[in-house]
Amino acid sequence: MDVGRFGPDGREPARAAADAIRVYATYYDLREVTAR
Amino acid sequence: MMSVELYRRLRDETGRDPGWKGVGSLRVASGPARLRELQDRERWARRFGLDVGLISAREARERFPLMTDASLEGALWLPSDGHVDPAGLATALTDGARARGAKVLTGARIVAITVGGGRVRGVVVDSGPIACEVVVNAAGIWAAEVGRMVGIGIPVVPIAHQYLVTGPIDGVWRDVPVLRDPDRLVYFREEVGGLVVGGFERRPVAWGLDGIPADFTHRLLPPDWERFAPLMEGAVARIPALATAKAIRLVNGPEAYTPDGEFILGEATKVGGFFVAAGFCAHGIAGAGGEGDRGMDPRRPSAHGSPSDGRRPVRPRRP
Repeated sequence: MDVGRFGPDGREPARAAADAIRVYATYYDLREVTAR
Repeated sequence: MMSVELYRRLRDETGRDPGWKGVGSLRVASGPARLRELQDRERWARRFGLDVGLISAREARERFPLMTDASLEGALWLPSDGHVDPAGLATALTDGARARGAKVLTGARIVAITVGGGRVRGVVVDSGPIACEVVVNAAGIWAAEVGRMVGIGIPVVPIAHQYLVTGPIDGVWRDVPVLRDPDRLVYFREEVGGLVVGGFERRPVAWGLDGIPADFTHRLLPPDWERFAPLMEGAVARIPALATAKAIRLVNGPEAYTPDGEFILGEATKVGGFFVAAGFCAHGIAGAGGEGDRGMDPRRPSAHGSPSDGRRPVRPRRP
């Protein structure tokens, strides 16, 4: 997958991948649970 | 909630058993901070009418006796939760679609999408063109590739997710609840008298960022035992019987994640009729029933402006 055109906000590909990895790595972290 | 309702009724509607097991689930607290979070989750879920309740450590062990009570503070019990066979579910859904007039093409590779006047006009698969007014890009880890066919960037990142399948374990029965121990980063569910043990490690690995191989269909990645070891340590700490269980296989497959942890859902702004339902961050089956109903219908207000909206700017998840 070419992530060169990543994301509607023009995020850099490497940054987008790093952010997604962070989402995965913190999947079970404590959350502040509030209704949106 | 809508997914559970759908999966419960599919067998009656289609004559095909999707393999839904409504066994309920336990989300345990291994410390006081997690217990407070579970209390918040309980209040939050009840606001939406979800039947959920905080139970004691003793009650949790009654529902899942193989679990040790070490640092067990309590658990959130969700009786309507469960698990489903993915292949059985896909078959039941396609059977249902066929019964309502859909034609299902399998083994067809999409090579282009035709756009005219700012709208989708058709798709081209390797066997030829198909005229259409709507395309739903539910291509999972391939969603970015399909998005590029209409000039849209879709922020999905495949991340390798692993789970272990064990042989039969004494004390595991068919209807044992799903168990999640977030403090140990692991989850468990029953499979053929044994357990599926999965988790979300601190050092995950993205995959396919330079292109997904064209022949990556019905395939998996090589198992990475070293990366799974810390999860297994946490799993054994919660279920000691796993220490002597037979490991049948370690499954390693890429799942589509997003940079902010939210789904990519809704109609694209640049191309009318081009809908996206991707980047479900391990919630594809859990969310499909509800998101398929609400997220894909532009007449419903919740399809736009929600955090799952495909039109939203992507922002990093709050820490």
